[in-house]
Amino acid sequence: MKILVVDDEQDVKVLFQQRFRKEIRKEELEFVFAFSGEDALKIMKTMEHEAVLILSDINMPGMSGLELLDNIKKNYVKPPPMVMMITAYGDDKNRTMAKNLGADDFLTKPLDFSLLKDKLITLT
Amino acid sequence: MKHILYIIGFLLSLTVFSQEDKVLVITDSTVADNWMILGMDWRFQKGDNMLWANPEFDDSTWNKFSSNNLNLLDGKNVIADRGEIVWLRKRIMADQSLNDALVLNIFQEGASEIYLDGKLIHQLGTVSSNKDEVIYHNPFSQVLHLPLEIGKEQILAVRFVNAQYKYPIYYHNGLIRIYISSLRNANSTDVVKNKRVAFFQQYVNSYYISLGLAILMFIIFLSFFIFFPKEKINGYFAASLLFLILFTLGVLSFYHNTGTYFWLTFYYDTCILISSLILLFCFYKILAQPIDLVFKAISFLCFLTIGCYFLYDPEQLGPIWSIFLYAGIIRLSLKSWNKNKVASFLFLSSSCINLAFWILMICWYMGLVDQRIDKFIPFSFMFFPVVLAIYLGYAFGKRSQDLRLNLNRVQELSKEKESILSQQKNTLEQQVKERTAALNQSLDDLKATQSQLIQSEKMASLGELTAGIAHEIQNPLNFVNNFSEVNKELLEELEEEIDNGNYDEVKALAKDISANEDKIIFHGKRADGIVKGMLQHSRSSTGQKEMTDINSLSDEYLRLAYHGLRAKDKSFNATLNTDFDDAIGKINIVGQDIGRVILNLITNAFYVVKKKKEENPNGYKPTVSVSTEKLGNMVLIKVSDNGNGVPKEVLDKIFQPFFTTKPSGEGTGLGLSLSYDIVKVHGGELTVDTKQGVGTTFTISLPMK
Repeated sequence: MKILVVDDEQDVKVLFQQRFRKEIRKEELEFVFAFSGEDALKIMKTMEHEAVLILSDINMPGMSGLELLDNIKKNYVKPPPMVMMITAYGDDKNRTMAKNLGADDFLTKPLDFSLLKDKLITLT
Repeated sequence: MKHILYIIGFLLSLTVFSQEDKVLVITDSTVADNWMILGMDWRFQKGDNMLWANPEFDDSTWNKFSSNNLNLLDGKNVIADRGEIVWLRKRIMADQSLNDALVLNIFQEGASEIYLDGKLIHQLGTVSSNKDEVIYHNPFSQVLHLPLEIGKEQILAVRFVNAQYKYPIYYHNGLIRIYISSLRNANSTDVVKNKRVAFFQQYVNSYYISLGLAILMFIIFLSFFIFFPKEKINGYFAASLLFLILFTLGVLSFYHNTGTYFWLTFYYDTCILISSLILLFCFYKILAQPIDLVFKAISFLCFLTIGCYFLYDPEQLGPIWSIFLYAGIIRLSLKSWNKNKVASFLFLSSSCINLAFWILMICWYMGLVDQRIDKFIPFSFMFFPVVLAIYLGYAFGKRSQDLRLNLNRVQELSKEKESILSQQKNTLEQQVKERTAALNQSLDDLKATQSQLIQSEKMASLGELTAGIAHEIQNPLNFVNNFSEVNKELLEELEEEIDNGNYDEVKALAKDISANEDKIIFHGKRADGIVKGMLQHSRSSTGQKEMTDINSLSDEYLRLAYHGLRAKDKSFNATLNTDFDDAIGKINIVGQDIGRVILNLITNAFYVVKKKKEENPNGYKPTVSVSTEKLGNMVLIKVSDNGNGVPKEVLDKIFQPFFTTKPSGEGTGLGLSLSYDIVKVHGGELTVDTKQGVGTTFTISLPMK
């Protein structure tokens, strides 16, 4: 399963690669990384319908995660990719907005990778 | 026959004597205690012939006449007209009874020569038929010796030339009166018996006394005026006295130099007139009366009488204007009775006395009064000045007394006021102490309140930042947690690989673990920095200045504010522009405080662009710019936005405490106010430049040192 991870933190890539090194090694999961909303949209265009899951941070410079969500949900309708938003604790307002824009799930920072792994396994 | 001849001769001689003039026989009794006028049995002849002095000359053809004025015939016709010469002759004889020398006293207007039996005994002036050579002289104050021989009939001849006056035009009478008395009587001081000399001397002495008095008063009142010019009345009075002095000098001159009869009387009468008018003016001033028509009329009439001197006898005019003056003063005194009783009484009584005197004088002129009262004339002129001087002295004394009373009153008041002032001072001091204490208390309270407010504002801004900080802190925590967990897993794998002896993999794992540790440390420090920053922000300012990188500070707070806003509202996005001047380096400021100012301005900027974006979702690109610039000795920190700008009506209020345009609960209204104060404390300026619909720029100007 190809997963697009969108976050402005560069270390996210290393973290995901290490946390899911076994799954990557087994080719159960494939991760693509984008470091801004704009990057994410570009990647989406080249791998349309490949990514089934998008994991996006909300608070990013430039295009925010919410704008990206909105964009994806509007432009990729058949079939719409799943979008999981990564939000902060107590950030209820953004959580509500994301839900309204069609976010499929929520994760909170700091990321609980065990929980994420379970969710991904469930999806696969 | 001889006897017959003697008888005829005697009869003839009787016939001759019966035709001749009477001989005036001067007996001792007629001249011992009296001045007898020689007015009877004179003969006169107009013309001039020196032989007419000769006793042998036969004057039987001359006209006979008797008159006190020897130039006046029948009491009305002038014998010698102006400039004409007339000879007068008279037979006179000293009686055996006479036991004293005889003297003459002559009053004349003209010049004369006195001959006794053809011998010139007195030359009084210069007599000449040439008018230019005539010198007038009036010897009325002199005693002239008459050397008559006892028992001998002698001829007294007078060669008289009438005065040649141009003025007054009416005046044609030459005047010559001749008096005779004994030398003893002429030297007597008895003014009744010796009225020709002693009276005159008394008269002149009276004028000298008046003159001395007038000069003394003049000096006194002139001095009063010079040293106290505000009291103008003293000046007026001194002027009046000056003219009185001139008048008196003129009168005395008249009695000593008798040649210029008309002009002298004109001069001194004018002087006394002016003096009297000034005196009247003084009365007006003292009685506080305005200069009225009566004063002007009196002045006019008085000057009119002076003008009449050229036409009429001045002796008759003097009393007229005197009466005008006194009448004027009486009227004035009566009018001012209620205003100034003392002055009115003095002037009224003195006027009445003077008026009575001058009425008596007129009666005396008219022959209605026998008693000679003209001897009081010198004093009559002094009467008013003396009264006025007395009044001025009285007024001065009264004023001095009033002043002394006032002074005492003022001194008393001063003491009272001093006492009151002292009390008030004590009360004030007490009040000041109390107020100062109260103010100090208020100041302390205010300081505490301000401190609380600052803290509140700080906490409020901290709230603004909470979301941003949460986001900021969660990211490093995310890494710390997850890399730690990853490392744990890797370590488990490492153990497995060691057990398996797969050392290449062990090395690779160890390398990853190490790299992850670096990341853990890095993000741990990152979180630590954020927490420290947060604590630093919330802590009370130490107030200590330290060298601070203003560019770094601005950048940090821009980032914090942006993330803070984004954390709260993910939909918001803005373009951030920074332009930092590297030449600034570090400047000496209280970093926490200036950071708070910058944060406040940036937060506000985001707030307004966010609002504008909500109003104009399409086409508007929110932009917030932060720039720094070194300008001379100043550092400028500019925070700009492209919001709607600050409305004009609130522009002058934005730095006021508790003023806010934000909805209730969103702003404390203290941000800009505190920012303004902080910048001021740093010796800088916080200014705003705004344009409606275009945007706003706040500029912090701080001194480099």
